Order: sequence, then C-alpha cells, then structure tokens
Amino acid sequence: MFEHLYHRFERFKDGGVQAEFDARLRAGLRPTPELQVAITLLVEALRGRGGYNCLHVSAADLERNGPKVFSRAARLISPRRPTLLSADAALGAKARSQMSKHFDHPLYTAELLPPRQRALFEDVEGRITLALELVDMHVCAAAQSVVGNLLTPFAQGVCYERDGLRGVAIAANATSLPRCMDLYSRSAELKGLRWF
Amino acid sequence: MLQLAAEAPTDSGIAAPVAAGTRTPPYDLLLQSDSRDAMIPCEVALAEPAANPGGGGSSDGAGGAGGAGVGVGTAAGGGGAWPCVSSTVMFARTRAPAVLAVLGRLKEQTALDAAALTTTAGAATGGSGGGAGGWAGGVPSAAQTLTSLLSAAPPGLRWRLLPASTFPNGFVAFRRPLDASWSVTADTHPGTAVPASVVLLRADWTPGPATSRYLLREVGLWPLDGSSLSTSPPPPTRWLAYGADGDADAALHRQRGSLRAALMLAQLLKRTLVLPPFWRRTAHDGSSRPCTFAYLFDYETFAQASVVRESYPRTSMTIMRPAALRPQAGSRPLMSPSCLHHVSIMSPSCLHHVSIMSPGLPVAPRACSPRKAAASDQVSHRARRWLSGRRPERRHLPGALLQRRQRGPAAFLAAAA
Repeated sequence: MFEHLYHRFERFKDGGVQAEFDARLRAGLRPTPELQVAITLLVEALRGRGGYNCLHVSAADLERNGPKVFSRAARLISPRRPTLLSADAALGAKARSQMSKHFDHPLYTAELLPPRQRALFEDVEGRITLALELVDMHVCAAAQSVVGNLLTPFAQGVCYERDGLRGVAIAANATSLPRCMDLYSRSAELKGLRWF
Repeated sequence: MLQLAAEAPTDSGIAAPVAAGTRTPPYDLLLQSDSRDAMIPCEVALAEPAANPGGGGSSDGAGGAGGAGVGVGTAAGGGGAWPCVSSTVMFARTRAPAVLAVLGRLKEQTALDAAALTTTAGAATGGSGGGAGGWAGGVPSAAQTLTSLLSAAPPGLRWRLLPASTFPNGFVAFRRPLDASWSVTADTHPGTAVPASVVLLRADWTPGPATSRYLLREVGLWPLDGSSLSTSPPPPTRWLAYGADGDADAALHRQRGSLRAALMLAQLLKRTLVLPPFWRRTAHDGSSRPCTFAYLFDYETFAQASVVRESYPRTSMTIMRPAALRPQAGSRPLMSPSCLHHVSIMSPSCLHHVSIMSPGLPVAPRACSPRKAAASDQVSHRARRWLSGRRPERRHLPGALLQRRQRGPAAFLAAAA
C-alpha cells in the first residue's frame, strides 16, 4: 500500500496540524548518536579550517551535462574554497577529475572519515551502507553554501536538514545560513516544493 | 558455565596457548569482547568517556569455577565519541591466582574510575549522546587497564575471548551484524532475529533504554506487550502497517519519505503505526539487507519527540514494534513475515491478515491521484467512501477468515500468546 506513497500523501489540510507534525518529525528524525558524532566531528573540523561549501551533482547530471556541471557550479560558489562533492550515488574517477579541474580543494565525505569509523558505514563484507549517505547529507547541509540539483531527492533531503539548521540559527540570533541554490537556477519548477 | 563456555571459543580470539590433554578447564578467564571487531577485549576510546563504575567484582568463591561480573566500564549513556564498555562479561576460575590478581587490579581501577567520575562530574554534564567525556587526563580507565593487563600476558593466566557469533556485544549484534550467521530466516523477522546459537547478547552500544528495548524486541528477546511477562499496557487494537521493497524502495529518501507519509496517515486515521523493517543499503550497492530503525536513526530521540508514544492507546500516533505482533516461541505464527510488513488492499494473500489486525478499517485506501500528492481530506474522503461503499477486495476473504476478523486483534493475539 505504501509503495511510493511518499509522493502521494504529503500534507494535512489544516496548516496548523501540518506545522505541528513537521516540527515533531524534524525533532524526532535524527541520525543515530554514533553517526551524529561523526557528523559533528566532520563539520567542526571543516569549519575549523575556514569553512566549506557543498556541491551536489547526481549521476544523471553528469551523464547529461558532463563537465559543464562543475563549470556552472564554479560560477555559483567560490572554486577556491574547500568544496564537498556530495552525491547520492558513487561517482567515478572521471567525475572527481572534473571536480578537481574546477575546484581547488575538492572534498569527499568518504575520504574525510577516519578509518576508525569505517565500521559505522560498511557491513562485515565491506560494502558501504546508507549510513554514509545520511552522514553525507547532514555534512552537506551544514556547509556555508549549498548548490545542487534541487529536483533530486538527495538535494531535497539536504535542503530539509539545512532549513532545520537555519531555523536553529535564527532562533539563536546567530548568522543564518543562506538557502540552497539550484544548480540550474530554476524557479518555476521549485515553486511550492516541500523539502524532505 | 565455564565448562560450557570453554568449549565454545574459536581461533578468532586472542588466546594463550593451552597444553593439550589437560584435564582442568583450559581457560582461567573467558571474556566477551566489547570491541567493534570483536577481536580485542575492550575498545579503548581515544577520548575516554565518563566512567560507569559498574557492578564490582563479585565472585562465588566457593567453587573452582564461577562467574565473575566485573564492571570495567565506561560510557553508560555515551559521552565520548567511542563508548567502550559498560560492563565486561567474563567467566573466570575465581580461585586461580592469576585471575584473582587481574580481578583485584580491576577492582582497584574501578574505584579510581569512580573517583575520577566524581571529580569530573561537574564538567561532564549532559552525558547522553555525544558530549565530551569527563575523563581526567592521565588517569587510565578500567577499560584501558583491562586491555593492558591482558595484552601483557600475565604469567599463568590462560584467557581468551568468547566467540562473537555466540556471545555478541551490542555493536556486533545490532550495528554491524555478522551477516554470515545472522542471516535472514523464513520464520523470523527478516534480518533482525538473532540465531538460535547465541548464548548471551549484551544490550550495550545503544544510546538509551528505549533503544535497547526496541532492539531487543526486534530480536525477540523482550517480552511481548500484553504477554504475562510484560509490564507494558496491552497493545492498541488499531494498526497501520506498511513495508518497503528492499530492491525498489531501499533508497534513503524513499525510506524517509515513506515513514513520513505513514506517520501522517497514522495520525490522520488515529492508528498505531507498526515500524517496518528498514534497509541498510540499496540494491545497486549489492543486495539490500534489512535493519532496524535504530541503524540509521536515533530511536531514543524519535520516541522522546512525541513522534513515537510508547504509552497506549490514547495518542493518535503511536508506534508498535513489529515484534509485538510476532508469536511467542512454540506458538504458530500470527501471519507470514511477508504479510506482516507489506500490507496491500490489492493483495488478496495479505488482505485477511490486514483485516484481522484492523477490524474497523482494514487499511487506508490508496490516495486518489497517482501523480499528484494527496491531501488529508482526499484520504479521509476516500476512506469514508471505501468504508460505506462497495469493497470489492473483501470478496477475496473466505468465510472462515471473516469470522476470525470479527474477533478482533486482541483476541487473536491472546489466543496466540
């Protein structure tokens, strides 16, 4: 019954009920403490080195647009700042090569994690689990600037978490993070889109 | 106990050589590993978290062999980045001098741990979940002491680790299961049941009691709600269950999205949501494997944030662990695992199970539009129409199953218990 339900039922009719539900879900759906520790360590380490941006590209982006994806992203965010490349699928050496051509300091979550933490992200057979994607999403969301294909589910998840961080910053009267930027500068398609 | 455990170890542990043909128990000390790779006794954290003095060294003292529980531990409720042990389970010959020396040394260290904890208690506030541990610099923890004592290979002490396949710690059991032996079986909850060969499982490596209960329920090691052993209130009678296909729907965003939609529907329909199995990786990364909610998300926070209410049944949105629907040992299954977590009004094979679970409204109907997101009023309207109108799906129900449906889930659960 719930197969693909996530894009069939998404809101309550009553806005107040919806807001209350969203607040509870945002507070309640957090990564496990072990993953949260890894996220915190990564974010603090990256911020301690002067901050970082995050670029999300999907495999489909690369397939359709190739290196133009990176050149376009380099016009939206500074290519001189450390930039985390996030993706919902493993990107090959070619993508990393293109990334290196356009960004001076590319970063990859899998390489930033110390070997000691690998047990959290792979099973006994050595295969990566979704825990890495979850950490990647949260680390990307905490970046100074986020650029990505905002019509992809991964980027929407990043933006959802980023909105949460923005809300916390606003509540604490701290410097707020800028909103996510669409790699293709779309507006009509993104209008009214609900992140999750 | 020592005899039983002494036969179990494999060569995977760190073992002192044992003379062949000895008539005495071959090991003086058998320990359950608390490390993530189950290869060392205790994983000493880089930044040692706050100590938990633990149980102290009790021993029977009367026999040659006895069980000695010694708290060597740290990190109840977390604190540091890598909580190491909360208590090390060990089986020891309590009259062996070498064992007594080790236990005595550990007892001293436990007292030091307690003192260190006291002196740093002010700084180590907010212990649960990732706060910096309040370990005094330069003071070795009991975990470090145990590791150093055993790695120094004390003369006359024959010790080894208990095998992780039969004496798993929480990390090996819940976080990184040993896939070879902890495999999916047809008659248990997929991927989350422990093998029958497990002798002792330590419910550590979890952030709190709610998570421990949830995980133990999932592996069938916690009394079912409503059973004679359970102190929980009887479970609610209105359910909502769903399942995700491990091949098609294991992507992270789909798992999150499905959960959100199911929670909304549970709230809208005032039903108890049965948490489904989750998936720890997608099919394109290899075969997907089921896992619990706590593999990716913090169950403790989930429960505390009122998204989950563990008290039944007045809340409109509650969560029931699937284990509560499972039969107890020796009874026949309530329903097949495939139906338990995959409920579809379009699936005749599962329909009667759904009806048994939910005598009023068997399941929430599909939303109206396959393309456009549905709102709550659409779903409510569809539900009312479905309830009052023709229900072609019920034609699939045989007469006997319809009678069982009338009894309701409580009676059915009681009959199976």
